[in-house]
Amino acid sequence: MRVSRAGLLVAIVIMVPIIVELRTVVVHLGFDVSLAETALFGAMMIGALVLWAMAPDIRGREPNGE
Amino acid sequence: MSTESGTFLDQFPAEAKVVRTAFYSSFVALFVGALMGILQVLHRTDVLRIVDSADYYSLLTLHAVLLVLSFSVFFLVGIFTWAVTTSLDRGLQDLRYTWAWYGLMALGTLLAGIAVLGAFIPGLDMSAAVLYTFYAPLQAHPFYYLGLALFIVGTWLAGLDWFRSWWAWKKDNPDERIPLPTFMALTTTLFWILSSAGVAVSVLAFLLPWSLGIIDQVNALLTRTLFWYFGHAVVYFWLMPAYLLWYTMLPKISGGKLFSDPLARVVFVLFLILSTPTGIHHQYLDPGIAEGFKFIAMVNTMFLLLPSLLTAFTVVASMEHGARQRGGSGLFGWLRALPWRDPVFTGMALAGLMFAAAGFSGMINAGMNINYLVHNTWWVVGHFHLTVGTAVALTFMAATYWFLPQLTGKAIWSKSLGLVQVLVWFVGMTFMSNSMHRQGLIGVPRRTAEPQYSGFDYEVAVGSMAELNMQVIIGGTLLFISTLLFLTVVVMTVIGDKVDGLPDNGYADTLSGPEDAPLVLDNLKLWAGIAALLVILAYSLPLAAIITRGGILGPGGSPSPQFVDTLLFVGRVAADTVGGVIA
Ligand code: HEM
Ligand SMILES: [Cu+2]
Repeated sequence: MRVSRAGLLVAIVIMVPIIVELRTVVVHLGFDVSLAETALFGAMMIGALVLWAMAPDIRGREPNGE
Repeated sequence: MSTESGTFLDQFPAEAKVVRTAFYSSFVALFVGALMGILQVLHRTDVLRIVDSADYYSLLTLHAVLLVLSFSVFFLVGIFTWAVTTSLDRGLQDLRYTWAWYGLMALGTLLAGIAVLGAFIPGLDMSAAVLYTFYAPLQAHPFYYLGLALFIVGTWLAGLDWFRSWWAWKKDNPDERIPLPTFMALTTTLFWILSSAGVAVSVLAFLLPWSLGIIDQVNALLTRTLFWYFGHAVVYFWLMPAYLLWYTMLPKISGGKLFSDPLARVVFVLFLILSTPTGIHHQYLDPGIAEGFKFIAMVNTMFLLLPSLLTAFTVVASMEHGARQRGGSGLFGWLRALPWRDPVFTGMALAGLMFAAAGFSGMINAGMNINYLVHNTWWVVGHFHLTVGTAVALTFMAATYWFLPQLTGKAIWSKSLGLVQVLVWFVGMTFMSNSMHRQGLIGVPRRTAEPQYSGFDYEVAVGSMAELNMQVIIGGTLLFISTLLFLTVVVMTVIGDKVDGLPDNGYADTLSGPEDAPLVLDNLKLWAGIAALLVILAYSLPLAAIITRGGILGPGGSPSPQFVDTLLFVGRVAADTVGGVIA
């Protein structure tokens, strides 16, 4: 783990507004994204975040105990 | 810092009881308020309409009054009482006096609540569906105005209580700097009294007599202007205790110290002098107030961004300091070392984050020209659910997880549930507020039981109206669930057993302490004088114009030029006096 479990949870939660706002931005740039596509894209972003967090820390540092 | 260690309950059992009672009162208000909130969401989106649409406005009045007056203010008088007692390390002067102001506030809430709920009792000729802004010609039962007046007087007496503590302390410690938390409570009290005097005049001199039938009519623009004279400062009354917690608790919980005590003092002084002469920015669309006065209010408002930006800087710097103390490193890597598992920390940090977002929509509200686009739409509701509804409310809920053990001697029932609670609030508010903003941009009105119109469709920019409504429903439901989780943790904690080994009462040390702050910052008389002067500059002419044109008691009444002359004369004398004191 690169971050603590609580840290990961918070990071996921902070992704939510980013995903919601991203849809508005993308649509204004001329790409019509549906709700389902946004949800799928959001799930992928969160999946990537989780994968990143689960991967062992290459620099070998332990996240803080909290 | 306290000489005796232990929890606040160990140090000051009697004061702890006051703070506890204030908190419990605020939680009751939160519960009822949140219940109204979810009912409003379901009503507006036409999912469930349990009351007649005509009665929607009673629910909405109750929601706002209970949340922005009772919930916020009961909680913040608790915080300030704790802050003053802890930082001066002395009990309050006279607890009977303290309970008296608490009693007034409680009685006021009760009266106002009865007036609103009276609408649901058949046969009873009582209602107060006037919303929390109570614009005339909407009229409420006298209990409503009386309740608000008692409540506000209660808060003034509370402020005086903190001043009495400080005066007594100053006698014993003539050469010491005012401790930072006390400084924050006192500066807030000063602008609160200055600003709420306006709404007190509006209620006691005009609206209450009018509702009692003693006078026939009021000058609607005058009472509105007096309301907003208080209506912007009140948002800082809610926000300053949240700032107090961000400045004095967040650094400690992050494992570090407050970056700068002097900067914190500057911020509170700026709020003291700038909070009130900005209220006209809520009236950009009111006819009858000249553009020039609105422009002055806009400029003052933009100046108010400064202390908020200073706060963002100081608080984040303190958090980074804490994280590095805990072994964090790297440009952003330190973020990982913060205590994310602690709901006190995470709740406050997320509240701060949402406040930053609110700052952006706030700038749009504040700009005279773009305000016309969003005025009275749901955008505004989206905005203040981020400010008072999250930056303040979520900070208070998070702080409860620290305060409750201090006040009861009991450990938090489940900190993990507390963490889930603050996260659910954040997600819920993201959905609800984002959709409210977007609906506002396409013209969906606020304060409307049925914002559906036949033969008319909103031109939604992104997605569809159904999606936007669904987003509000999901968000509102999550917020309601979060409130229930919060109250569950509170109740389970309170009915639990006392434990030993709780953390000591206290607040953050500083990296740069009061010795680095210029002495003049502690000169409360000076700052109060400047605040009063700015208020006179910003308000005497608009008020005089409103009275000259509309008459003190409204159209057809006497224009009362004599009164206006007196007002201007008194204003000029006051300005000269203040000027003389400062010079
Ligand atoms: C359970 C969480 C909440 C929900 C579901 C909720 C929902 C709502 C909704 C839907 C409205 C708009 C009604 C309309 O424009 O017709 C509203 C208005 C309002 N809410 Fe909330 N809210 C919640 C929490 C809060 C909190 C915590 C605060 C403040 C501390 C707050 C303060 C207000 C105020 C001041 C209004 C404006 C009332 C008016 O326009 O007169 N709300 N709320
Ligand atoms: Cu304002």
